[in-house]
Amino acid sequence: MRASKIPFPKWINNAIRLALVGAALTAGTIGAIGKFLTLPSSLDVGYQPTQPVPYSHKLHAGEMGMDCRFCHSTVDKADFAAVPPAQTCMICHTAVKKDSAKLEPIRRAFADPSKPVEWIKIHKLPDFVYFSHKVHVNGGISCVSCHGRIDQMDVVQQQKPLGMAWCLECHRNPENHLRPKEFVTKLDWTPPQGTTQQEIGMKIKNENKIHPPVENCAGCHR
Amino acid sequence: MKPVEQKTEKQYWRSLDQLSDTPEFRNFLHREFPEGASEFTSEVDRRKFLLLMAAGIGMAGLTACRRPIEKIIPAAGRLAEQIVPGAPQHYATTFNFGGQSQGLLVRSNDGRPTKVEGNPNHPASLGGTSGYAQASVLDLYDPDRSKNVTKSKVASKWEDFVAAATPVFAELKGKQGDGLRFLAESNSSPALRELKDYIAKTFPQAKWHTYDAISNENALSGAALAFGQPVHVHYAFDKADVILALDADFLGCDVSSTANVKNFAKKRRAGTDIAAKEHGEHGAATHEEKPEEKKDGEAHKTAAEPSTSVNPEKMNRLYVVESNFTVTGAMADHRLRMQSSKIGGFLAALAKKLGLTVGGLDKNAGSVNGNALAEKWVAAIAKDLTANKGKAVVVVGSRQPAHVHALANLINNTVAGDSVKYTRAFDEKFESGVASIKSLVDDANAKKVSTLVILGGNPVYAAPANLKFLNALKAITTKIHQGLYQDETAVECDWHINEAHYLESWGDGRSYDGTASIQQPLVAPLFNGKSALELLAAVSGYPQESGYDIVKNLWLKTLGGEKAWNKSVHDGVIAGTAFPEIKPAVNAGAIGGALENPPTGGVLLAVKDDIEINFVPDASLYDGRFANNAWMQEVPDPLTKLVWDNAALMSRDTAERLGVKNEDEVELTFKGQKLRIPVWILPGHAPNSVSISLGYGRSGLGLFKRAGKDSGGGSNASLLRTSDAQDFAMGVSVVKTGGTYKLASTQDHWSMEGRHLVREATLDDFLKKPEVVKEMVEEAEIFSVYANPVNYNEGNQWGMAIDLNTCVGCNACVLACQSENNIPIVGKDQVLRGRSMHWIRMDRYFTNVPSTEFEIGGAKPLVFNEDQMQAVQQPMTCQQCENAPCEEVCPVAATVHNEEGLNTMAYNRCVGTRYCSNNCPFKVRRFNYLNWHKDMAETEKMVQNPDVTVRMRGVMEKCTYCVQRIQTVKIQAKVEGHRPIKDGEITPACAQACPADSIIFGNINDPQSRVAKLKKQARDYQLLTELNVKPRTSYLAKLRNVNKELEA
Repeated sequence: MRASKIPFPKWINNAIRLALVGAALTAGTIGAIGKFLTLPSSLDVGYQPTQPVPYSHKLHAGEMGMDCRFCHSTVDKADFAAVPPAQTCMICHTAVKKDSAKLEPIRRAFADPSKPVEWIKIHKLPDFVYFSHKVHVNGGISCVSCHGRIDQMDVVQQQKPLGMAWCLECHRNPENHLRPKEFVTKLDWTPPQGTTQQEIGMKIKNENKIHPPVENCAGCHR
Repeated sequence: MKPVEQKTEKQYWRSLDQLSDTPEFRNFLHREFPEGASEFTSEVDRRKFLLLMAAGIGMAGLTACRRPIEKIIPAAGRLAEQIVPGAPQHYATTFNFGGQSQGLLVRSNDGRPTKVEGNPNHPASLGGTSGYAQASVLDLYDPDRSKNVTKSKVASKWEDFVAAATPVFAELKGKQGDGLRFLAESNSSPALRELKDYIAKTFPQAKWHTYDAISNENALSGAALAFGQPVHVHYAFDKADVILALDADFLGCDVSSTANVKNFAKKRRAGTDIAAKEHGEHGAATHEEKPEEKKDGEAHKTAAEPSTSVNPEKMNRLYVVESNFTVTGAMADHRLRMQSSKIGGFLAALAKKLGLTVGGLDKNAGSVNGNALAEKWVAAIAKDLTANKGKAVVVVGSRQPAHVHALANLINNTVAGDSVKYTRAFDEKFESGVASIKSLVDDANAKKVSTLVILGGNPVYAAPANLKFLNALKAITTKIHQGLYQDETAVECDWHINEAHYLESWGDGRSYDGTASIQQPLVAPLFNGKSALELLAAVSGYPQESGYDIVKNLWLKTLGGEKAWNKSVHDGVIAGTAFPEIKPAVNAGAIGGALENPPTGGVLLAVKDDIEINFVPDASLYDGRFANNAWMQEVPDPLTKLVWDNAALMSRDTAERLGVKNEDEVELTFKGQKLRIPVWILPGHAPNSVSISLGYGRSGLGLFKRAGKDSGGGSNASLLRTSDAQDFAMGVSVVKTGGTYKLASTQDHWSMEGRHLVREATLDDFLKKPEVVKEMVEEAEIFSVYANPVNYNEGNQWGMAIDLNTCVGCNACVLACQSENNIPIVGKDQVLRGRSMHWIRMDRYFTNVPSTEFEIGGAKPLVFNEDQMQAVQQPMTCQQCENAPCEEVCPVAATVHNEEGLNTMAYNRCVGTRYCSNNCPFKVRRFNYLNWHKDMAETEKMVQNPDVTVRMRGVMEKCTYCVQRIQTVKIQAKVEGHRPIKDGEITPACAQACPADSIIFGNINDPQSRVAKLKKQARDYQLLTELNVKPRTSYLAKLRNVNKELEA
């Protein structure tokens, strides 16, 4: 074979090698950025802002054993779990620790209901995600599944990634989280002796025909 | 597509350009997207765009690390027990419009009214709403609303007004109210009536004037002529088998159209619900075995027997004679175009044919003499009315003069039976609005008026041009205006009081039959506005001050107790308040007298070729009150499909005679008044007649100031409207100016390239052979090459059926969809680029009846005959194809199917390739070319539905069968113990608003559901079955109940 018949000049070999390396580097960089963006730490796990009132869930929900729904009263009735107005706090705090300096913002909001306390939102989903508290809570998904052991937190922080892949883990296998409805706000609940979470979860899933949307985009995006 | 040739079959076309197949139309058609749709609008070119993008990406890296802090603000104070933050509530209220009221249920999301629905208990709603009611919620949040009291255009306060007004009115009281005048629009409110009576007592010399730009006064004076008292005439369309509508848009712009359509549609379904054989399954049953020939033959036989008809009632027949082409005309089984000024003559000829003997018939009938087609119509209708005595009705439109109404009352007296009802008028002391405003102007010019209170309305804009209202207004010392806007009238007044919107204030109203209901506010006045009741109470010294106290005190007297009051507010109707039916006696002598001397001499006797001018209510803006409502400006007119402008509408033959074409600017001269306006050809408009809709050409509207130049706005028809020609008159001159004006019409957007989407048959043909609908398009034998991964035989499978036989094309669904789904407004310029965003496209097809020997207007008989033009309306939205072509081409799986058969959209996934739209055979996908929400005012954001994503730029969107409503009901069913969903529990916004109940949604897997039953009817058909896309939406074919005698 004569050299002149070769359709490509010789330097092309090096150029191809270089291009391949370049492509690999680019792909690697993009992959690394993607990985970084979806790391739990990038998804705001651990987000723990300082609230205007140093309210301790550990004290109220943990040590004193108040039910979550005492304050978050709409969690089983509406898509949103309401944050209580100052009136709810003042049910007790007109008598208990009524002069505490930490409760000053609550007393102010109680005196003037048009200026409620502005709490900082911790568990945040994008605007294009429609999450309904009431369907989860009534279906037997405990608060703990998404919010963690709030009853052990002095200052609440985000513990779960709240990303779509994380949502789908449970939507694909809800039996890993389902529990009898009466125990949804009992954060330290464990399956009774002799049963496993999977067994109980499967039973509830089959009895109530629970098929959370997995490939139905409109379940959460509309 | 070849140019249209002479055919015996009906043809369906959207525009004259399509019919004649112009190069512009072909170009428009062959582009994937309309010209300019994909191009940038601003000065930013591609190079600059890339530069900005690169910079943007670089910057994005800097900001993305920080998480924005969001606040949770708890609901303030103590909430009523039934209010759950985050869960929407519905409240009953009343929408007062055009002097009557419609009962509504309005959705409130955490205190914001966001969506209007009909109140099924209310007689003027019956669950449906008009498009006007749907759009009224946007007015509440209009950033251009008047936000405070002004004194001589300087911001002031309500308290200052009260302080200034008190001495003025105290002095007037001393003078017995001499020089005090009120000018209001007609209103059925009993509370306002109470205030009026109180004022009449306190200020005995004061006068109350009423003027409406669009009024029902002709009907009332006609009734006063015929019966000696101004009674309300109601038509029970659910009892009428034959209807003759004369210039009456009773299904369209009429105030009581919602109830009319509801009742009319009942008779449109009657006798047409014949079950189909072999079409039980959803989907076109395409890949199944072909039914054997024999079976087919059997199906014929059984279906042809009358016993298979579930409903033994007859389908009604509608004749329409009109000048402008209205939605009522489009619904007609037979439509005859005729100048408005000749319609009285047509009715007189009909009366003569019916054998009625009153004076003046011959004199009036002269205007249709020698018109062979009209004579044929008169003969055929007379026969039909006589044959259906007791179930026939003649409806005359409010634009026709009183003596025509009186004559119709006389005819109805013999033919109507119980399809016409009479009740007493809201106000027994009826006075003509034109006479009323004329006396006000005369008195003002004679310096007899010292103080004028204008309650709503916009007389400076709308009063008859020859009265020179503005000059008269300037002669008045103290002028007080109340209104929602700083409009043309407000800026001429000393005081302007910002009015509270009806969703912000207490009030009441009566529906057409007298049923009263309470107008309950859903939100405190956003700008501290006051209602008319509160203003009147303040100036007259009425014992109660607040609207709530006035209304409640008044009704407690009738209702008796708190409990009954609460029930009335809750139900949205006050039980037992409908006026009793009366049976007034007809005074034929008086009618004859009126016919002998018709009030306006010029009306009936027209010079040949003289051109008539018609002032018609606008299907979107009504009389101009919705002119600043962007939804209403952008919703295409039902017939012309024009947006953001009005035009001089005329027939094709008239345009040819005048030598004008679409978008040519003409100057109209009428009685010395001049108006420049572009021409739009409306095939089937009456010959030698020009129609202009009211409500356009408003000055100083904020909507257009924000939209910039070339944003439309139309021409002000009131400039030509005189006190003796409020509705129509002969003798307008039309002169071409040589200029042109670009009009935006959506009629060729997303064209279907002549495919058979509309199926229509005559009732007789259909009853003889119900398969005729299915056989119109040859069904190809089609099979799928792969098995569908989803099993559609299980669970809820959503589907929809749309009945073309009842759909009038009123646009209520389009507006309801816009309100529910946060659909943006794009503006005239963007509409011209084909970027309008409505998820429901109301396709209007003109159809031409084969030519007859009756050519009057000089139409080219071989092309189409304008004398008997018809039209079909077809709401077109995502068909939710089971084999959706859009899904196949989406590179990012942003549009995929779910297990319930919905073609879902994950907006957050969409990258905007627009492949899906290219591949959609129905052209129902809409692309966000720009960020339409960018310039949205803060108040306007409050109208958004929080359950639907607001789509950003670069995202494709489309109808989802209101998936948010499906999800809400599914979640509720799960919460309530995982129960099954009942039929009718989920209603998409379009179906809920539809006054005709043409749109039925449900589970097609449940054989008992309404939608499954409809899909088994012989009229049911799917679009484009040859593509094997298996749409979930199907249509029920349109039937025309043809009178053989009028067929050519």
